[in-house]
Amino acid sequence: MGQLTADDVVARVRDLPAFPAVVTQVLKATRDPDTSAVGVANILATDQALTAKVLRLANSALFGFPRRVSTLTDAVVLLGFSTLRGLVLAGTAFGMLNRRVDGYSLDKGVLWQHSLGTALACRSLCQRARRRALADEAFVAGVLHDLGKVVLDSYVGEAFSQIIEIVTEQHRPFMEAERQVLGFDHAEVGARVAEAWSLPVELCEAIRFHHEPANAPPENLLPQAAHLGDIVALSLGIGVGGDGLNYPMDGGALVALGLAPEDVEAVMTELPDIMVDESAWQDLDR
Amino acid sequence: MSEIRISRQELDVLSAMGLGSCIGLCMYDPTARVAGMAHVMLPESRSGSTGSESLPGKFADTAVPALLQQMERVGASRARLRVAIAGGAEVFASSSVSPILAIGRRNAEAVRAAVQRIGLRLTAEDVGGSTGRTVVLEAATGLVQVRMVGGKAADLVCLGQAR
Repeated sequence: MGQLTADDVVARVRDLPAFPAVVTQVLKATRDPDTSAVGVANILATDQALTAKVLRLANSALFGFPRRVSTLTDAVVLLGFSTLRGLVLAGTAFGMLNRRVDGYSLDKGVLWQHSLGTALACRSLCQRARRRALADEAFVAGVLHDLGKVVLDSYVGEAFSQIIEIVTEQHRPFMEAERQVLGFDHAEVGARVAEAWSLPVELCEAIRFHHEPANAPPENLLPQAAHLGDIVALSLGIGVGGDGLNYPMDGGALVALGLAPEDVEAVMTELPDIMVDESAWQDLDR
Repeated sequence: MSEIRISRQELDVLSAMGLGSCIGLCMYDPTARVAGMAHVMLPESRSGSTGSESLPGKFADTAVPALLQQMERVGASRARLRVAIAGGAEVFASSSVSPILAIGRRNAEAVRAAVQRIGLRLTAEDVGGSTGRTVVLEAATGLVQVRMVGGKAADLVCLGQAR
């Protein structure tokens, strides 16, 4: 196999399961200030599987609503558009992320655990920084940040010893070694998947720059959040693969978000407790 | 994560998987054949922080005495205990961002200090670097094996053998 060309990447991205049209519609509708909750509910209702997912999650311990949520409109109203977007995207990505990714030594479910852990860490970090509006988008960035690993799976699998030798002998971060050997790294490839799915540019940038947030446009804070959330999850050993912790930490991400190192430690402390509560996600496999 | 487990069952194998910056703390009494393991996440508990009461295994300063206590309850003797640790990896340059963020190193230091506070010393350790680890402790023999994620497994030490 060896190096990938840009066309290879495009072809691999095209091979992925199609992004559900209903999700694209939901994303568009929830960003339109003129859309009503009923309008969004009607879009969701066209897809039985998605309806079931949204209702199941809305009724889970995740949200702890006092009474049972039985209609989509109720769910949309109670969750709010922003949280709903996050749930729908995460639910959509779950299928892709829940599989084994041998190239990175990730057993089935491990990449999903890492993605969910990162997502929750991203959200907690933004909440701590009192950037509540950012928190929900950061959650999505965390879910999607390692999407590229699914696409690069077999390429990395074949070239792993070459890649890891560069890491260990030259002390280079894993994504740089990926680039050197394959011509692409998992962050870039993940960003291209997100672009193929017509996701917002800030989200694509978050994926593209999650290891190197300093290279992202500074007005977008999502790469910074994704960067730190990923590091929190890796430190806690949540979904550590063959690439290990072979990535740099950029202190600029803390500065950009207005966080102190103590905040990162605090999020690390609470994350395992939050993850236990989020077991509702396991039901999405049905 | 944050778990403390002990065993006197010959066929048991205790394991701590997916150690990033966390420490897999192994303690073994070769005479009573009691094995214990804690998956330590952070260096120190703080008053008011979540989890320190219910999950002492989470923090190095509470995990070590808690593991000791549980092992003593089933017949282990402190003086006979042998200890090994693995884990404590870090992302690149974390300590240059802030010493606080060198969690792997802080965990290893905190566990060493806590082990010292109960009058013991480490027999063996495999800490640092930036690779994920899994550590396994065999209850029958006290054998400690460390596997690098995506890499090889190697015996670290046999805690059941005479010094």
